[in-house]
Amino acid sequence: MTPDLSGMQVALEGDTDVIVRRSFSHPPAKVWRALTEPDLIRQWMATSGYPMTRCEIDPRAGGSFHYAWAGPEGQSFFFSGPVLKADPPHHMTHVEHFNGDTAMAATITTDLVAEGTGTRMTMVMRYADAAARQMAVETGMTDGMAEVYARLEALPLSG
Amino acid sequence: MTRLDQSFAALADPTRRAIIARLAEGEASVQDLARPFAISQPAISRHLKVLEEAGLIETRIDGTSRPRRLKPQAVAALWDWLGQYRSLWEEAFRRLDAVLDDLPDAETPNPEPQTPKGPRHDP
Repeated sequence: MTPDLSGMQVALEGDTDVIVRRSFSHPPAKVWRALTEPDLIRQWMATSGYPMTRCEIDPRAGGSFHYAWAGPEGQSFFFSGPVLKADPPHHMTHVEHFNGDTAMAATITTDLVAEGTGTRMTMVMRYADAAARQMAVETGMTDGMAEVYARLEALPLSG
Repeated sequence: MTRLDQSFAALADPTRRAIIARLAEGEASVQDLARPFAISQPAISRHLKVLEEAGLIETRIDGTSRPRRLKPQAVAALWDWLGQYRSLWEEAFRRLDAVLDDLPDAETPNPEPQTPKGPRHDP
């Protein structure tokens, strides 16, 4: 599962990690802002079908974040969790729970390294074990959960 | 367990994903499905039952044989959904590119040591 879409790589490493790599044509300071300022986060994490209803982040060690979306049929969902480490504009480690379920935690390490005049971003999403990662990757629980829900609900499931 | 949980559970198992992948090539008997796996036919049958209960596959009755096949609408939606998942990150990053393009450079700090790694991406 390593699709390469315009320079983006998604890779599985070891038993528990999903790694997403992407380059940006702007320096780490700007990328950091886009990743940590709610007004900017909303511009790229929300879509017309899935507006964000809550977007809060305190990007410091001991801080936390809470991102919530409303889906087209009124279904809402959120990701939230503590920020463990932050070293602007290069590094952040945070823990992500889906819909407040602390049993499904992913620890996400984001590194922004200057690359010429741009930035190389590496995100490592670490799950509790291989099964949790498999679940997250194969079912889309790392991102786009609402779309996944919508599509699964559209499946002609019997029983 | 909701249907949604059932689908997640059904797809969380590597053997069941392999069965889905095999059935994507066309219907197959239980014996055919068991062959690539180092597990017993009853174990395969249990996996098939999980997939059938999750609505992802169905049994066709053909005389005395009982081939399994993907439910056509289910597989179309499923494949579409997997492709969608892969593209979610890239769609988000393309929006992020646009956000970055609109940001003023004013707060950019001093240049940092260059550490070229991998291909540069310019949208």
